[in-house]
Amino acid sequence: MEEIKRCMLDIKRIMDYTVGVIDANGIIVASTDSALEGSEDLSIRAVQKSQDTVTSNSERTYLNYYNGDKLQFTLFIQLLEPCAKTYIELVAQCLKVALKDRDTDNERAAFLKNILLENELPGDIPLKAREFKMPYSMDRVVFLVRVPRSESSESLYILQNMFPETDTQHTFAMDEETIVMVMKIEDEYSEFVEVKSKTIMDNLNAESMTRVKIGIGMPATKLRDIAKSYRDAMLALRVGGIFEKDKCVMRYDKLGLGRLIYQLPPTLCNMFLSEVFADGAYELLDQETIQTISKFFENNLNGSETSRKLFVHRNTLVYRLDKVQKITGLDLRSFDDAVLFKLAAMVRTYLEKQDSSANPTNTVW
Amino acid sequence: MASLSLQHVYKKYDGGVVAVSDFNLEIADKEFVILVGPSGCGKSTTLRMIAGLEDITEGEIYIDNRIVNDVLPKDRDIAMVFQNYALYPHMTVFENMAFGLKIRKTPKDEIKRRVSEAAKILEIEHLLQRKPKALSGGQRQRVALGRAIVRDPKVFLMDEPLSNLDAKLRVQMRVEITKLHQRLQTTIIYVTHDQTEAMTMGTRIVVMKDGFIQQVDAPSELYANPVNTFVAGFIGMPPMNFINALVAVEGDDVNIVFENFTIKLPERYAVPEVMEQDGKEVIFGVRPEAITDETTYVGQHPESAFSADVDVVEMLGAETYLYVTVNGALPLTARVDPTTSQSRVGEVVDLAIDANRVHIFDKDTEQSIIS
Ligand SMILES: Nc1ncnc2c1ncn2[C@@H]1O[C@H](COP(=O)(O)OP(=O)(O)OP(=O)(O)O)[C@@H](O)[C@H]1O
Ligand SMILES: [Mg+2]
Repeated sequence: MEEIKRCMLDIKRIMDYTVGVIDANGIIVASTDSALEGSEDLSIRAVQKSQDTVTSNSERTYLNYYNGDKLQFTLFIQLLEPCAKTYIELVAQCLKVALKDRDTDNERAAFLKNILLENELPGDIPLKAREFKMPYSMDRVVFLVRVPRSESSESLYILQNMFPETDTQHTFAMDEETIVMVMKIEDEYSEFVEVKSKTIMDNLNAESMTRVKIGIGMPATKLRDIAKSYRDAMLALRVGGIFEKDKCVMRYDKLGLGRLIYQLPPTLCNMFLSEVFADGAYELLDQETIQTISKFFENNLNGSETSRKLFVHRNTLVYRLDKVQKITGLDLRSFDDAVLFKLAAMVRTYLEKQDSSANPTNTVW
Repeated sequence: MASLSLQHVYKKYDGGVVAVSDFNLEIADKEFVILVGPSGCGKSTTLRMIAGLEDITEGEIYIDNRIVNDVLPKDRDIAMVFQNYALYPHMTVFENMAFGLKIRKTPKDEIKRRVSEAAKILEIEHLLQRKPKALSGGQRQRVALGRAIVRDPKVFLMDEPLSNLDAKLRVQMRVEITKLHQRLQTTIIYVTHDQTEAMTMGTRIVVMKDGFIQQVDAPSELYANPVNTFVAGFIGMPPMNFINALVAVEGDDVNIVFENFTIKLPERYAVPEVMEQDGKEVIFGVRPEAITDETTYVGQHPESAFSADVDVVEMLGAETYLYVTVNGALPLTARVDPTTSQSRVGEVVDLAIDANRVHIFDKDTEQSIIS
């Protein structure tokens, strides 16, 4: 329907006459005069029954538009001059092209979706790619754009217009809250995904004031490999949602320790946790101490820098770190202990999130 | 058009990062406020919290006296302009500006009216039928602004909208945005990391660092009376010279001692806050333009004169920068008058400080003692 409406808009730009599309029930579904949309055309029965493709009544000229043998809809133009027939046929041609483009876009999206879900035989992919005029060997990356369900069709519409379909760039919906973008990598990977993801986010934010999360996969050199890039991007969203839930852009290559921990079995995690933080030592740390630790890590265990950033005296920091050592037995000034603490804290976050959400795919929202 | 109020706003990320701390700010209707600070100081986070794109950890945000903490971003009546804007490549300028209204199901006549109005304000009426490819960088930027203007929002939020433009265009667009503010008569909050941009555009500037507001003031006030060394060093180009010095009080006179020079400060500095620093180390702040090599001035002000080796002379036409070293240890920058300056690289030059325009900061707290 979107294509038909867009086609009407295009026609409106070039022609001054009112043109419209009537569905099988006689309702005007799209028109250059949007006031007519939704109203009924009373002559439609007679027009549909007519053996002639082009007919007219006292105010409109009609054309029955067939898809194969089947009447798809009826076009009309508010004009009775002899040239009306020519005009209405031209309109039919425009519509045909628009619908054909849509069909190809849809088929291509279906093909890509099948590759991502590994429903396509690897041997068939190069052949079909040629059919769709898509280069088979090319560096591509998959972006997953997750938006709230209520916003997804609007967001898809925005993205498809912002990044129009080409043979190297595709945007389609995967499910009700996930939009997939497969893009050719221009320039260097890291730079490319950084800029692209910011552009996607900023423009969705600005145009529809919607919160978005973006997952980014690793580069794929062959079309076949975008399935892997897609899985990476999914994992990035999931793991990022656990360890950095406020982040909007999650890159698979930046998941770091989180990726490792995510793949550990929970029993092992529980064991590790109870070894490092015996008797729930972590729970004994107050908010202030946890913030201190995070600043200390953020500043690469540099004491003077940390105390400056926290606006506390150096001795206060030392006191707080001593307290941590007393409670947990870990001296965060030592690299090994710091690593152990960081790991255990992450494992703890992971287990917490696992408990709180039975369905891990929903952790993003 | 709206007033805005942020009260004790905090943003703490999971894992303890505090991006914004105790942010308090009242913004009047139709005000143009700039948030400025180095990378990572929390400017974007603050803006995104106002927009509702980021949750607030603590505190309250009011728009027109209505608390909006739990209001969806869509319903806050705000428009945003970002650095990484992209236009719809297949659409005309008109369609680009109309797009957001269309998806919001705005009636056609209304869309037409608003787009024409915005185009007029932005002076791009003659471009409405063009595609983005056929526009210059500045014109594209205007279309991006147009997309926000057509929404007729209560508040505009702009996050470094000019930083993808080249230097010349940036200067031009700064003026444009300032004019735009006057024409639109609306509230704008503008984020930049560029102090020059902040100083030339804002009527009120909020200087941030590490998530904390350092100072909120008019540009001239920030320049003349910075509250601490951070603001003093961040605002102004080339930056203020900071000199580790000693305060020496002799009777009613306040002297500043650095390297082997003693500089006598004018009477107005002889206040208790300064007097009680007697014998203590302080940070002495002198802006480059408060140091001169003009011979008559130097001759007439022996109480604030000193000499230095000239390392570099940078001639910029209307002004000249001297990069000098005092005593082989203390580097200073001076902005001097090219028509009178005779300083040459490699020579020793006599300089004098305009002692009426110096700043003294506490060495430990880095807060201003007097300006
Ligand atoms: N999702 C997140 N999780 C953790 N920390 C974050 C997150 N987003 C931002 N930060 C941190 O919060 C701080 C403030 O970031 P913010 O983007 O607001 O800075 P900024 O002033 O806009 O900087 P810039 O000039 O670079 O744009 C930074 O230290 C940043 O690393
Ligand atoms: Mg920013």
